Amino acid sequence: MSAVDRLQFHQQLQHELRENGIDGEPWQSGARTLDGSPWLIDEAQWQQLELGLAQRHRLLAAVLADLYGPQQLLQDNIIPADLLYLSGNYLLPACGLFNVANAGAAPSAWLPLLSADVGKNAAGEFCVLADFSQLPDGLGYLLEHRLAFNHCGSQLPALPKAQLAGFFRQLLQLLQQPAADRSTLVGLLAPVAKNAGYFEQAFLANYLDIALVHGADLMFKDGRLWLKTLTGLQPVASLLRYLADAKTDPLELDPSGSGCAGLLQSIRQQQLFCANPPGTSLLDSGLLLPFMPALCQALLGEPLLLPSAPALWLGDEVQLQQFWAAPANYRLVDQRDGRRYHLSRLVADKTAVESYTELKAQIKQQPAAYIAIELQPLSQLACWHPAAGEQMLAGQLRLFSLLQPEKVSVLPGAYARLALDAMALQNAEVPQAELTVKDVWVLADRGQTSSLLQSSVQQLSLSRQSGLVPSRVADHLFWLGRYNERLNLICRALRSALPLIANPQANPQHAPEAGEDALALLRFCLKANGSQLVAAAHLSLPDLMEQMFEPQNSTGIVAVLKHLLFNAQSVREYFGEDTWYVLDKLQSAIYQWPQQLKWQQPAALLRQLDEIILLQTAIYGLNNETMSRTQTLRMMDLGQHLERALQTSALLQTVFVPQQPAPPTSAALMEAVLRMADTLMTYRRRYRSELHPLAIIDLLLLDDSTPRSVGYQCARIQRQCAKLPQLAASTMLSPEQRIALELVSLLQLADPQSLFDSEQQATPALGMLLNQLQHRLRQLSDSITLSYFNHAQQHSAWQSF
Amino acid sequence: MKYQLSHLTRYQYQQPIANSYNLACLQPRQLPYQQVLQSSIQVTPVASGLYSHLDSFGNVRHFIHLQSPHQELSVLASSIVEVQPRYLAGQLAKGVDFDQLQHCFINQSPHNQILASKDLLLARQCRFASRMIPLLPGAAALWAQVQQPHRTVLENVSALTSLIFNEFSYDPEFSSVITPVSEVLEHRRGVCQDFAQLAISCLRAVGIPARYVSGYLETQPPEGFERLVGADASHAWFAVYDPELGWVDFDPTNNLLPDERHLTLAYGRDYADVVPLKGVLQGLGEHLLEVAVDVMPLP
Repeated sequence: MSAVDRLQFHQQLQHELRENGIDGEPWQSGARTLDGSPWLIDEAQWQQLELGLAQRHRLLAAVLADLYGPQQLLQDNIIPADLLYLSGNYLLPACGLFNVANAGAAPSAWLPLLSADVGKNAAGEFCVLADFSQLPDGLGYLLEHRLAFNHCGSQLPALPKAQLAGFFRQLLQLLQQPAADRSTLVGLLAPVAKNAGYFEQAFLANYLDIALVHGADLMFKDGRLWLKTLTGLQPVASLLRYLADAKTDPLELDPSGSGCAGLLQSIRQQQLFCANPPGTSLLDSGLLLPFMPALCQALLGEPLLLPSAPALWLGDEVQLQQFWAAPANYRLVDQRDGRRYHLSRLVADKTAVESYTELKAQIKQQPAAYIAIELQPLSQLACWHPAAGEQMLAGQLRLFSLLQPEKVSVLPGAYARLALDAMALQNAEVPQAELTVKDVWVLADRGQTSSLLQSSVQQLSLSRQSGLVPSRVADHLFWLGRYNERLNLICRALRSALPLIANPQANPQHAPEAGEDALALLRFCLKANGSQLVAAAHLSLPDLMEQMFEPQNSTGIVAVLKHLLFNAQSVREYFGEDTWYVLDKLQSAIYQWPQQLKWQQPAALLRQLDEIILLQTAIYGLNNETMSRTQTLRMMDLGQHLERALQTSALLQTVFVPQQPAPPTSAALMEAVLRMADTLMTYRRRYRSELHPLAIIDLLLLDDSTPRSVGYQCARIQRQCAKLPQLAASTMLSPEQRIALELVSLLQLADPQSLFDSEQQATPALGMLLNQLQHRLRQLSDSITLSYFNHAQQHSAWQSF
Repeated sequence: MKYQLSHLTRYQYQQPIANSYNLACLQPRQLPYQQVLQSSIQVTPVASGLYSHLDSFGNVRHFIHLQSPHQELSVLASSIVEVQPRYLAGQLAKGVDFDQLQHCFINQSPHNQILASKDLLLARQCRFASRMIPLLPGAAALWAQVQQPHRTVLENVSALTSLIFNEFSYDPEFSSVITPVSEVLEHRRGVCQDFAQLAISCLRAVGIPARYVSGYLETQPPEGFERLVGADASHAWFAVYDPELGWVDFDPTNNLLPDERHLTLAYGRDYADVVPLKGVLQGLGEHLLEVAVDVMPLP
C-alpha cells in the first residue's frame, strides 16, 4: 500500500466510526483510533483461547452459584471467607436469587455473558488479566470495527476470517428464549447518564433490534417487569444489562440507583432473565484470581486450561511477603471499594511518598482486603498513525462468551485495545482518545453468516417488537418534531428579516417600513421560543438581535437548537446511521456559531441559516425514509405539524393583527411571510396580482391544500390523532380527537370576508380566531402528554423511606 | 412463655402515592429456643403484590407492592410466638478465652485445610465494619476498661454490657434510627439500637464477632420486679459468637442476658440489614410515621 493510499484508508476507517455516531460528542472526548491492520490470530492459537475461556466461563458461573448459594467454597476454605465478606461487590440481597423454587437451579443463570481481558505474559503465552461480568463493554465496539472493515476492506487481502454474526444471533436467542410467548420483550438496560458507553449501547440495541430502556421505562407489577409504552404496559422477559450492579434496584440495592424497584424480586419470581443478574460484579475486581487453579479442581475436577495473571491475596502471610518483595510488579485492588493502585508509579515517584506511606498503613490495617495482580508485558503489535507513523504498541484482547445450560459459545473475534504503556493499559488508565483499537480476525473458517437478518423466523418475531414505543421515547420524539419545526420557522423568518435590516436600499419601494418589518419578524422569532419580551414593543433592533443570537439566551436560536439535539440524542437509537450523521453536523453548527455578530453584513449568518435549514430538512426526509416504526414516526409528525400550525398562527397574528393602531401591513412584509412559507409561487399563480391580506390569510390559514397552511396542519393532525393507540375501549372520540375536530371546525366555519374590513385592516374576528387556534393547539399538546407520556416523567425520582 | 405479638406500622403521606414498593422484615424467625406458631402480614390498602423470601441471614422478608393511589399505608404483622429459657447466665464461664477465640480466625489461609461451619462463617462476617457500624478507637477503648485476661470472652462481654448500662443514659429524645455510633459515644446517651451498635463496634474493633439482633421485649413485669425499659416498641440487642456456646445474646439497655421475655425478630450485621419496613415510592412530599407494638403474654 502506498503512503497516500494508507492515509486515505486510515481516514476512511475513522470516518466509519464517526458516521456511526459512536464518537458523537467530538468536543467532549477524543475518539479512539481504529488501526488499519487487524490483529490476526491463527486457528491453533484461537482454539486454545476458545477452550480456555469456555472452561473459565463454566467455572465462574459455578463459583457465583456457590458463593450466592450454599457457600461450600467458603466452608471448604477454597475462597477465604474474610475476603468475600470484605468485598464491596458481594451483594447480600442477591443471595439465593435463583434458589427459591428449586435448589438445583442451573449455574448458567448466574453468568450468561462473560468477557475477559487476555494478554501475553513474559513467556509469550496468553493469560487472563481481568474478568468483566457486570457490563459487557466493547461488545458493540468490536461489531462496529468489523462493519468498518467490511465497508472499507477492499484494500486488504481477503483472509478466511471467522464471522461474528453467529455469536450475536445466539445472544439474541438466549435473550428471547425465556419468553414463553412472543409478546414478551427483550430490552437493553442502559444508564440514564450519557457517557461514552451510551453510543455503544445504542449501536448494539439497534443491531440486535431490541429496545434500549432506562429504569424509568420499566415498572414492577404482578411479579414481573413491564415496559411502559404508547400502547400500555408490555411484559419484559429479558434484559441485557449495561447498568452497574448496585444501581439496578433502588429498593434492595443503592437507593439512588436509576434502575427499577422490583428487579431483584422479578428474578426471584423467575419472571426475568438478566444477562447478567446483579451480583456478578464480584468477579470483576480480581477477587478470584489467586484461587482459580484450586477452584477449577474443586468445582470442575480438571486443571485450569487458560491461566490467569499470577495474583496474590495479601490476607495470607506468605503472599503478603511475596508482594512486598517486589510491589512494583503488581497492580493492587482494594476489594472494599474497588480502588486501584498503580504500584510501580507510587514506588518510583518521589513526590508520592506520602500517599505510598498511607497505602502501606492501610494495607497493614486490613491486608485481607487486597488483591495484587502481577503486571504482564503484553504483546507488541505494529500500528500506524498519520502523526506518529509506524510504531509498536502493547495490546490486549477482550474476549466474549455466552453460557447456556448445555454449551458455551465464544465470540470468534475480540475487542483489542493498544497503547504505548502496557502498565497503564492493564490499569485501565488510558483515556479513550489515546487508545488505539484493532479489529481482531480469527483465521478460521467457521461458516459464512454475515448478517443478523438472515433467518426469516427470527425476523418475524423481531419486527413485532420494534412496533413498541416506550413512552419516554414517544415524548422525546414528539418534542423533537416540535423543536425541529420551531427551528425551521425561526431560521426562515431570520432569512427573510436579515436582508431587510442590512440593506434597506435594495428594496427602495418599501424603504421606510423595512426596519419595522424586520422588527415584526424578529419579535415572532423570539416569541416562538417562549420569550416574554414581546409585549415590550419598544425594544430596539440591536437588542432584539442580541436576544436572538446570544448563545446563552434561553429563548435564542441556539437554545432551540440545543433542545432539538437533546431530544434527538435521548432517542438516538431510533434513528438510522444517516440521521446520526446529520445530527452530528447540526451539533457542530452550535460550536461553530460566529462569536462576533456582524448582522450588518449578514452573508455569513445567512449561509449558516441555510445550512441549518438544509440539515433539518434532511432529518425530516431521512426519518420518513428510514423509520419503520409507525407510531414513532407519528409522534414526530404530530409534534412537527402541531408546532407548524401553532407558529404559523402566531406569525399571522404578529403580521396582521397589530397590538395598537398601525399602518396596513407592508407589501415587503407580506412577501416575506409568503417566502417563509415557501408559497410565493403558489400565490402568484393563483392571484397574479398585488399582495392582498385576505388572499394571504386564505392561502396560509384556511386553505387545507397548501402544505404550510394552518388548515392543512389541522387536517393532518386530525388524521394522525385518529391513528394514535386507543388507551380506553370506547366508541367515543378520544380527548385528542375531540380537540383536533374542534380545530378543523374552527377553520371550516370561519367566514373569510369577516376577517378584514374594507380598508384591509384585520377585524377583531381574525385576532379571536388566531387566538382560539393557538389555545386549542396548546391544549392538544398537553392532552397528548397526559395520555401518552405522563407515567414516564413521574418516575424521575424514587423517594426512599 | 407464649406471646401474642403485633407490630403496626402506619405511614401517612401528604399527597396521594401512585405506586410504592416496600421491603419488610417483620416476621419473627424460627430459632432453637423460639417457635413461631402463627404469623401473618396484613397490608391496607390491599397490596397488589405480596411475596416472601429468606434473606442471606435467614430472616423472613416480605416484598409489598401497592398500586392503587393511597395516602395512608399500614402494615400489621401479627404472630404467636413461644420462647423457651436458654439458661445461659450460669454458663458464661464455660466459654473460650480471647486467645482461643482468635485462634478460630487466624488460620484462614487456603493452605490450612480447616473446614468452617455456617455459624463460623457468619462469625467471620460479623468481625468487620459494616455500613452503620464503623470500628471506632473510642469504642475499642471501652474494652480495655472491662477486659480482664483471666475471664472468658463472654464474661468480659457481660462486663461491657454493665459498663454501657451504667455509664450511658437511656434517652429516646437524643437519637434516631440513623444516629451514628460516634455521636452515641461522644454524648454517652441513646436508645437500645445505639447501645447495641456501640457494643458491636467495640467488640469488632478488638476482633470479637458480634451481630445485631432486632426483636421485642415483654414489658408487663411479673409481680415484685422492676419495670424494664423499652415499653411498647421494637427492641434491639446484640449477640457474640463463642465456639463452645454458639451465639450468646446480651441486652446492654437492660443489663441482662435475653431469655424468655425477649422475642427475636431478625439478626444481621447492623440495623440496616434488618430495617423493619423500608421502601421506595413514586410521588413527592413528606410522610408521617407511626409505630405501635404490643407484646401480650398468653396463658
